[in-house]
Amino acid sequence: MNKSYGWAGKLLRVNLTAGKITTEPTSKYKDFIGGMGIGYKVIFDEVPAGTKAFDEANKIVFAVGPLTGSGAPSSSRTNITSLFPSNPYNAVGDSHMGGNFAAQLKYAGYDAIIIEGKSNRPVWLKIDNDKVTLEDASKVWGKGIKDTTAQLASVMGKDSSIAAIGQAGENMVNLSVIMNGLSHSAGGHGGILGSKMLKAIGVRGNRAVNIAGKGRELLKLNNYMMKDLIGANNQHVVPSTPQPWAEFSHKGSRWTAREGLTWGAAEGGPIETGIAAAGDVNRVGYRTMKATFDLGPSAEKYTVRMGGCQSCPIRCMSQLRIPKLEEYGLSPYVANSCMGYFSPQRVMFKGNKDIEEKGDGKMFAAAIGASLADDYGVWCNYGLLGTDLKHGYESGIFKKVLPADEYNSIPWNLLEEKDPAFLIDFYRRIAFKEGELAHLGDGAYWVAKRWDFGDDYWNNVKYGLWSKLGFPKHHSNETNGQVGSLISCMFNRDAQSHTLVNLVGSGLPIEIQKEVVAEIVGSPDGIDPQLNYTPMNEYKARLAKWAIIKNCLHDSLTLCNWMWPMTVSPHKSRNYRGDLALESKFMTVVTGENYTEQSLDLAAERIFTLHRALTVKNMNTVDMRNEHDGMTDWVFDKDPDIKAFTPGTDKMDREDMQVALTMFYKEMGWDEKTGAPTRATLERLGLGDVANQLAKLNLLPA
Amino acid sequence: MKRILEHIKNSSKVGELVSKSELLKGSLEIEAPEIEKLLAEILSSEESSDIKELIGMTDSFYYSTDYMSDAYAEVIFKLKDENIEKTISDYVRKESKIYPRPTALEVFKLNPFKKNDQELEEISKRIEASDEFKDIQKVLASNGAVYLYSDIHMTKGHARGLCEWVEVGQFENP
Repeated sequence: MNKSYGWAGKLLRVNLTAGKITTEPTSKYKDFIGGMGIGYKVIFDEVPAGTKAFDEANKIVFAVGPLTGSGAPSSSRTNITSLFPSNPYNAVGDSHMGGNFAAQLKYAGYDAIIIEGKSNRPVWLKIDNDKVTLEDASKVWGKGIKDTTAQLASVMGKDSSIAAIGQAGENMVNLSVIMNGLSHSAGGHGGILGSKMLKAIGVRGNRAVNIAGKGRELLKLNNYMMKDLIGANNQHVVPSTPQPWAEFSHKGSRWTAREGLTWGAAEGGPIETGIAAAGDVNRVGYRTMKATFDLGPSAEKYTVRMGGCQSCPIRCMSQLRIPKLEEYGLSPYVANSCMGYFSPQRVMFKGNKDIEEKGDGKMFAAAIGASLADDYGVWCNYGLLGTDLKHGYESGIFKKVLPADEYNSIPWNLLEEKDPAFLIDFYRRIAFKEGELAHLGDGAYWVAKRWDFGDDYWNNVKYGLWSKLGFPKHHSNETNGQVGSLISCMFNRDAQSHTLVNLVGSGLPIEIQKEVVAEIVGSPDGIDPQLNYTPMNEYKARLAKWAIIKNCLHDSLTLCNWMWPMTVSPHKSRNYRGDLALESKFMTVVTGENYTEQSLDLAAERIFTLHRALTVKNMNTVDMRNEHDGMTDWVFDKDPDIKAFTPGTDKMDREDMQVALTMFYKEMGWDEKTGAPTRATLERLGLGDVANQLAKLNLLPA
Repeated sequence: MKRILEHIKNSSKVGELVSKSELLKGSLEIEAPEIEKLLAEILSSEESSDIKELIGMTDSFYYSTDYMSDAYAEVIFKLKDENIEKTISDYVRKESKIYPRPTALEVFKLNPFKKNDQELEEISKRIEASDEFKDIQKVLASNGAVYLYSDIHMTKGHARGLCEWVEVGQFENP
């Protein structure tokens, strides 16, 4: 067999019904790169129309990419693809996790795992290089993710990585996660593993990823990225406070390192984050002090260190030691980032009481909630779990729909008293599907239908529901108006696309951002100053396409789209320009094949269009414009006293947004009336077989 | 020359300008006439093109662009050469113009301003009271954070929306 560079060269197929494990070559998926691309191709080809998420016929694909495990920075992402249970059509969705799992899978020799069928007993998949077996999981079935991970790691060794579900996944809660490394979670697909009775996947590999490049080519690229291009978390390229080296600063930047700010609970005493200037490669890891950014100043003294994923210099996971957590029956150690901490705060919608000192309530609620949710494996639907609780409670709906005994058994007094102990009761009910309240774990669309949530729910600007399909805004109209809005319309769950928001939030002045955008789409009019939006134009449509396909590219390579692409740089000497061809440079060095930015973008366009085709198939309609791409009314009706395109508002205009959709469909080569991919475009992208299948299903636009 | 260059670079690294008056007082044990000559040479030499001069009302200041940005140097130059109200107002005007965005009052508690709450309250009052700074306006986010903006470059609605995003919105959409 020829030596494979970048790609491991084979993938695993695990049939749980038959207990059969086989391998097959990755080469048939090469046009789809890896990760997300493999996932969509497998689901399109192999999961019949009409299949539901928890059906035995559904499959779930864990896939990584040719750059995973290569040593390229920020490359240890695992893309998980399957039908998405919280979506009303169970249309396809992706969930992603960082950590070490992705790299271990490559080191074991695999680019992907396709899980199919259903076991008749709890099992876990043990991958130890070439030795792949299904093992009895009866001893960990019913356990939380922490116990499961500890027990399976004790079998496989501490150099393994365990991806597991908690009780929420076992119980097929729609909003459940798959998690590795105790804090790196992929939201939304835990129940799929539960439905297949697959508790966990443990993987250990000790091979290398073959690199085609000679000598120090890869090291040179790494050094170039580290010195000249990389900023902080979300590729923010200016510090959050004025610093001598920096021309610009921005309070919203995640480049939060500064003099006097420490990892206060570090072993051996506090470590100062300090000035971690652009170009200082040895201090890149200090730049992102996310603990205080996410949790407030109280978190500084509990921060042991900032952690993160394999091969990532940006440490965005706060690792805390909070002794007081033991009084809540929890480990004092907790780690997470962003939504993992924000979500429990949303559940505590009445506020947070101080625990040990003034102002620390938010941090305690976040840490307690993250610890519980991550053990049970409960997902939050990007924060809507707390929103749905708030609406049901404050509207009085729970008093009507919950049996009186159940309603009275819920410790609402703790919620009212702002006591984080409420979270202990709350997450248990969700994970174990206890009573009517537990339907919150079904997801927004399903609970709104079940409990007859009305317009005051769907169209509430404070709730931020983006789509009637039951997912919230996730960098939408507040992120360059129509461009963020378009991005938010295109997937079957919250858009997890950070390409655009990272540029908008980079901290650079608008003129520099406009120059950069002009180089990407041909005009500075593709971007507006924040909250000062103008009507739609073709350049915004191009920018939306650019942002989405870069996202699909990263989820296929697999690189972290919270960090990539390197659109801008922290260096004045580069005029703050990044390098959008960097992915292709890494691909060329790692695989030995000649990749360009254009060739990779074309592959990513193929992958995104396949996602669209899959959505058409899953929803059994070509009318994407009306059935899929709509948004809730608050987007157009907020700020009632001022018109759209007035400085200070991000409200959108209904007619303008229809123009935006038409322009975007045109950019994608999709049918401008329906938004469905045309045969011509599918064939241009090498997806003729997809067109043929859609034609058989009568799902090609006229 | 090497001693002066090193002194300027080291000062820039820690966020400080070097003043001509300090050098003339003999801080580097170099005679005053020699200082003038060396500074002229440094400013005209290609090899030390990173050294920049800022000429104030009563003194001149030096920094290295290898270690200090022009923007930071401008602020600390103004802190030395102008009153604090004008320095803060100009800082706010610049941010309102180039980003555009309102400026959090708490920025002025940090380097290089380092003002405490009471000082900031007094400075704010003086800015509000002076015609020279009548374009400088105050706006609050819903969490109570105070921001300043220049109404020459930004409307109140725009400023309010932007500070609300930084203080509250970004954490609802992380």
